[in-house]
Amino acid sequence: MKKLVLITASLLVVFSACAVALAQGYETMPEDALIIPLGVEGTLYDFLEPGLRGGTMYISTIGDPKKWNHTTSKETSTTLYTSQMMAGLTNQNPVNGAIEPELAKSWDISDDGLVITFHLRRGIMWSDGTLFGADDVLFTFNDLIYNEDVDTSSRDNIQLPDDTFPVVEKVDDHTVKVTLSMTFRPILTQIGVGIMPKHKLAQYVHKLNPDVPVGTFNETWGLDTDPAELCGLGPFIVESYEPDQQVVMRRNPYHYRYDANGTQLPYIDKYVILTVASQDVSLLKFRNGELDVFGCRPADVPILKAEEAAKDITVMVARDKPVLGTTWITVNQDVGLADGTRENLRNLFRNRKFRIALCHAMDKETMINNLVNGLAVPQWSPVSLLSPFYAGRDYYGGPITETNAVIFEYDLDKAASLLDEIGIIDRNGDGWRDFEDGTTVEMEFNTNVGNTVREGAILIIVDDLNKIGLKAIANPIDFNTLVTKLLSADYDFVYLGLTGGTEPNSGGNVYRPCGTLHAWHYSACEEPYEVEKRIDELLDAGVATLDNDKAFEAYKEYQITLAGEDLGLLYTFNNAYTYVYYNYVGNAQVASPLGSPSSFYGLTWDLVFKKG
Amino acid sequence: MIGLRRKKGLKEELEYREYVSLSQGQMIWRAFRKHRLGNIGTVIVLLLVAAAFFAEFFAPYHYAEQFRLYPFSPPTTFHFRSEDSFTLRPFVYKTTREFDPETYQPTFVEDSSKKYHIRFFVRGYEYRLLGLFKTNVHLFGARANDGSEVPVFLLGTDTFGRDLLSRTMIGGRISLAVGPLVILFSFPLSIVLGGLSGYYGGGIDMFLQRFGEAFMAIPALPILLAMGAALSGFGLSSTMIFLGIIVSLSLISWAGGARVIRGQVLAIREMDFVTAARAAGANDLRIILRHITPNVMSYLVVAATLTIPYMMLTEAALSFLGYGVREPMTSWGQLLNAATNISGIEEHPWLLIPGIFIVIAVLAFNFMGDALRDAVDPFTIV
Repeated sequence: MKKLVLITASLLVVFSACAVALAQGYETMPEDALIIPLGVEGTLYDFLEPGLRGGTMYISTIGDPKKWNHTTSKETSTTLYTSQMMAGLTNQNPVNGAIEPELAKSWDISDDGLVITFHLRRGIMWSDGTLFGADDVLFTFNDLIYNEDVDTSSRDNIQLPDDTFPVVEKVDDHTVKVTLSMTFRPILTQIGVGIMPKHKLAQYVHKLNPDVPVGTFNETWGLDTDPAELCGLGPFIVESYEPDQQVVMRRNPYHYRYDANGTQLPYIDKYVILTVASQDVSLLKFRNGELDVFGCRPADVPILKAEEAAKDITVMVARDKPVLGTTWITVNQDVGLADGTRENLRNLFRNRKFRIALCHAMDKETMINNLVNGLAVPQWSPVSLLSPFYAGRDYYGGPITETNAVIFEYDLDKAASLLDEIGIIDRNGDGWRDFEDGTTVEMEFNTNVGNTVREGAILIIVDDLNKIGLKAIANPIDFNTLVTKLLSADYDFVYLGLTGGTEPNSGGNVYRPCGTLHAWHYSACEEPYEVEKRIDELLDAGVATLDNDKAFEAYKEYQITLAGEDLGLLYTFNNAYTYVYYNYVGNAQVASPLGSPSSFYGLTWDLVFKKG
Repeated sequence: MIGLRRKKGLKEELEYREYVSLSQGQMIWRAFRKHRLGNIGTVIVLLLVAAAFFAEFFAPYHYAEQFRLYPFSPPTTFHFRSEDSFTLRPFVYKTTREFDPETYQPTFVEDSSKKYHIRFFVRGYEYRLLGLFKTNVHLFGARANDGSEVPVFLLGTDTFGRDLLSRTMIGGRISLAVGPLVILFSFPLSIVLGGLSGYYGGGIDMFLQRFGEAFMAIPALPILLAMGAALSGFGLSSTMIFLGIIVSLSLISWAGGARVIRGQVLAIREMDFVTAARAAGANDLRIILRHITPNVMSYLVVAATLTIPYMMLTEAALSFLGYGVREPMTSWGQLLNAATNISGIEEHPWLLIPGIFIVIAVLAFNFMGDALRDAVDPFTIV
């Protein structure tokens, strides 16, 4: 008898597995499917073409993911994958940067701008075939993002200047009401966080299931999770993972996007992300035909350009589209504060004229021409060039004329005379400038070892400072050591970069006096300078209006204050957006630094297909 | 045997008599001179050492000077022929870096309107020859008839536009100095600890040898990398980091030498002349320094010659990986570091030239060491 039971049981398992396998995808296109009008005249997508279903796409990345949980992910090596699995209520269009309906098919905004009603798409299913609804949205906000037990960086982004959160309520199964306590302009951007499946994850949240300990959710969907357990609304779902080798993602059979011909997206069945040790390996693999698309470095462009015809590839170089984010040098205004040493240097670093002298000693043109083949633009502001709020524009979204940008031209004589002016002169004739008490000014520049562009940039700066008599050395160190030094204010100068978006308010954790990354002046949280208080106010003013032009004025002043008055970070340059693909990849030209910043090379992967 | 020798001519007989009357040093020198490869190696080593001593003279520019308009300039082309005439006096043209807007390929375009002739013993940056005499004379440079100058890059430039010839010259000084400096630190340790161990034996021997084995058990490269990384955490100057590397290399290399010396001392202390010295009332220190050490000298000389190329390679590996000498100071290995990426090698092959110097120097030292070993080996003398 026992045997029989066993056989029956296993038969049942096989049968149910078949049932799952049969229920792949929608029987007919859902009524509320999102139509991407590829190749349709007069639309945003008329330069693309409808594709063919099937095929596998190969790309590569450095570094393994840390988990599959989108809400608690922190680093881009993880969000590369999780952002493909998840989708939000709204999305930023990669072509023109506009905020568009995604899981919400539309929304109504009350006259005072404080109540937003989102109408969700009907008949949309999770990748396991469960129906998506308002409960999932409520779960994501009320039980995950607003839940103090959950370790998520999304919480800061959606917090309003008065320290409250938007209230998310259910009207019916397909309608969600969001109520704000004050005007918050970027709400439509920030509300677009990845929605998580309640039916899968509610059991791991202590608040909903007291049987599990506090914090269980932070360990949920780790790398040891069976990929069959994962589900999402995004175009791809992780199918398998081999550490240090590759991640395979399969198309979500229940994805809600369709092209104008009624073909469901994504076009490709699978995409394989190989883990490589360095960008050089990626370059070799791409040239060898092992990768279909590669986010090359500016330095690789000449080599690839030379092979463009022979290999039938296209090298995209968007010189007018610098990547989002910032690269900078911090001047540690709290140097030696912790142990009460180096007071001379600290006072010097706190002197605005000294920081202006440093700006005049930065030869950005040489850095760009010699280190990145001329494929970069100098940076003068904390806000990316592509943002409609960039101060170098005449008005919100206007043309870039650099009229308002604070520009310090490369001029060593000016730098030297500024140093003379503040009394930093050579007092003992040894060729190095000294403090008033006769000790030599000595400074150290750190960056992460192995990043040749950054190492090169600090060598150029150090060479220039030596020319004007400042004793500076360049010392590239291990990345983790560098971050520890930065966060504990134990450094003189650090050269690093930050990712960024188009909304200036997202830089709050860096530029506000109490920001966790306000690494050049942590003591500002207790005793902010006047200029730092002003920055705080301007950041609030930028979000507290729905009028983009008013916000632009606030952000313009913010950028001018930060880059011209405060000078906490000295900006360097931003690489042009570059990538390369084989010409058999269709719709690869849709890539843009605006397209979901964490997706691979900014490509909208559900539109990509293989020709022929 | 006697009969055989008698059949030789007078010349050979005289040579033989001269030979047996030679001192040990003279015999070694004679054997060494017969080793042709060893002689070539020695000449190359001497040339390299001379180049290192007079590096600033051979280097046209300061090793850290950035010619920012000439990043990755290929080696300058020498011209002997202008439109119509041929001249034995080479000249160069001024080059300008231009970007191809289509391919983004930077190229250096020559401006043939003005000739800059190569001149010898020109004036350049100021330095102290051998650290003593202040001068500004350099071997060569290029100047037009109207006095204007243009940089000449015999081996091309790096990403900052620094002259690779000048950097190779100064880098050679570091690479060649590593070996002797490590010997300076590690050999006294080896001699003292190995000597004590071999001479006294017993518990001291046991302790010192196990102590040395502990050092030998440490895998060299990971430790060197860790030490390099640790050194960088203190924000030291490049000179201090260089000294740190020397000390690290010495710490991992003394134990091997100490073990060989112990073995030799162990054998020598049983020899009759040591017993005689002891019977004559000489104290231990005198016996070790006057009677035993001269007998291990030949080993030390050979070991030193073979340690130099090994240390040069270790330093090169360390610098190549980015944990050795720090910018703007340089060494041959550190120069090779610039050639680590694919675009570096493919587009700027001249970056690999410092590697050729390493190969030549290591081979030359090894040939010299081989010849020296053959020469001092007692079995090959007679």
